[in-house]
Amino acid sequence: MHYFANPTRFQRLMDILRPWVVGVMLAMLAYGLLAGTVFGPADRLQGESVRILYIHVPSAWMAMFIYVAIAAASFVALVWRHPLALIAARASAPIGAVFTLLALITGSLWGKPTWGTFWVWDGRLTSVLVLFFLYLGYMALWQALEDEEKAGRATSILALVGTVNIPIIKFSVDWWNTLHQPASVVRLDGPTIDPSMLWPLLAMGLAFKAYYVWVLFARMEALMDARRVQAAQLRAAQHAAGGAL
Amino acid sequence: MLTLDSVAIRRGDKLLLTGVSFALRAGEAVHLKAANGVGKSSLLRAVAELLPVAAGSIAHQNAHGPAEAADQVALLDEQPGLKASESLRGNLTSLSILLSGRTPGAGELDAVADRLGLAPLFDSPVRYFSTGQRRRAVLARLLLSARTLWLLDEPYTGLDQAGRALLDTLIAEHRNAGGAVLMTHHGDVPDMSVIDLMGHVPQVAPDTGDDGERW
Amino acid sequence: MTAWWTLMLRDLRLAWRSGGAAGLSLGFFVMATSLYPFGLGPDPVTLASVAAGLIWVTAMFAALLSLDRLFQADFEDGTLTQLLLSKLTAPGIVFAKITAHWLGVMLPLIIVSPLLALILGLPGSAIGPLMLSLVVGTPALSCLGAVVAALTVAVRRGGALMTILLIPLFVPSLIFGAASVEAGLVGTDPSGALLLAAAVSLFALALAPVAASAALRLAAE
Repeated sequence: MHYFANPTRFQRLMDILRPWVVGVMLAMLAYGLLAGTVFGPADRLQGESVRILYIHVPSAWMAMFIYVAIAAASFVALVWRHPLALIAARASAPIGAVFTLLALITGSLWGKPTWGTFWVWDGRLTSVLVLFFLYLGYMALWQALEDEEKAGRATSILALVGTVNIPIIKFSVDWWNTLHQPASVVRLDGPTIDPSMLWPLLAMGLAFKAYYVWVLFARMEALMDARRVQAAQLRAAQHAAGGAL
Repeated sequence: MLTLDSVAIRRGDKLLLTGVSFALRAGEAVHLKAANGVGKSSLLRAVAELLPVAAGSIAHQNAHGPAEAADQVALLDEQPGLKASESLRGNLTSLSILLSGRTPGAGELDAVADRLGLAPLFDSPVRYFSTGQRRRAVLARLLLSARTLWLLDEPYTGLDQAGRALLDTLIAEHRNAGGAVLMTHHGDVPDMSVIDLMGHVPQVAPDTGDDGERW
Repeated sequence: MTAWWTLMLRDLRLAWRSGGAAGLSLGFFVMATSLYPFGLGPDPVTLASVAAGLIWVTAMFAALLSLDRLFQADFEDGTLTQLLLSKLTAPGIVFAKITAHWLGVMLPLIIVSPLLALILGLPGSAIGPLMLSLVVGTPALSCLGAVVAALTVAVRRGGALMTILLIPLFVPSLIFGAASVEAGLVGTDPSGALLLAAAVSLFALALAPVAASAALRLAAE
């Protein structure tokens, strides 16, 4: 578990993986976009606007996936005090927040032709909105606490509390939605989906995941560099103090 | 009563102290000396098990064997730990029950207040106390908590001549009754063994480069 | 008297002292609720149709207002350190504080809620269900609030941050609580929503002492 606690070793691992990650991302993006938006069929009911699904659905998947990844990394950081896990959690949050925002924006753009309005209190959209708030809270707590080590543990506790609450929030919103929404509303993604749409969609999902890993590596590197600079500054300050005594 | 074995203390990213080892037996008192910012207060908080040690171990023992810090430690630090809107009587009653688990007897609190020279203020809210009076009120915690190991972080601060003499008397009585004291103070304290923490401040390590780096 | 009761009763006493959280929250609850007719218009039918939801949302904000200082006062005056060295376990401390918060701050809101229901024109038959939903649902607010209050205890001016952290966590209680009152109004069975609100409260009660005490120990280091 602590093998990759050495940042240099982890750096090497990232350097090895990076070209593969970028390769998978580009290949899947190319296939997904071409098959989905150029050659793929338009929807019988929703027409061309259905193609936004290839951005919207993978974004929503990533919004959820990254929050769970943050919670898992936070758990590792709390239990085993693994510093890279904490850095991974911290680096993931803004990426997850952007995907969540993307899911919200594409959802409301899709909502305009489908529902005739940009925002409907649809169960899924509302859940994603609440998830977006959870991301904002997690990032705000990182910002608010000055002692980085304490901030790391506090945000980890928050991420875990948020995660055990997600199923409850999701259930309550779905329940509330069935209570208030008329059943005739067209759902964003129905239960059945044609294979000609499913494969490009899965490819886009994979491309988004690879993109996440790629950006995550870059953000983790930046955070690790910041830590190195801080450590160097601390050493310099200690040298100065040692000289003064 | 207390054994420290090569204890290291860390605050954030900074290693403050390393290799602190000593033992404290019933009736003994240790005076920790060091410059500001070395980590005396942090060491006391670590002994109280409020701050985890970065390395080494801290063990508490009572007459029967290993003990919990929260059962034998009384900590006096710069914060008063008193509720400003409650009277001294209310504060001392709550503190006594919370720390010793025992409801104080009828005349017990009056006797403590009298001892500390606070009897006339017994029913006034702590908010109206002067700094010195507040520091005296805090000493009541030591008497009421019924703990054997007193951790005193700069206990003389804010006390007048009579207050300092009173504290010395309390410490002497506590030691005679089989208690122990671990104290930080910038001046000299008679009749205590001194541990100079300056020898435990880690030497600044040369930059070893990334390959040796482990957080 | 045990240490737990001593702490709980002291917090209850402090909440009701002048400048305590209880009076402030109660004042906010009453005054904010009486503001709605100015924004929505005095039409009794409109007001009655949204009254239950408004009262629930306002109770939530009143809770937020009071939770800000739940641990902060103890943190600042050194009481938290002494509590952690007391006969109480850290989860015991949290549980005592949660109990005192609910009894001292939330219960008074529930007691005056019929008055607010009347001025918003909620039918008399819905007042019982409204109070019941608040009794069953608001413990979750005290519990989850304690977790976030413990996490933000060392943050100066942490009130706005608390709001951001807590609002998503409060959503389920709000949904189930308000829905149970509404179900009573339209003549359907409110017991399902009530049970769900109770389940959320019980879950929060199980979670809060563990999570909040971990956060408190962190703050006290």
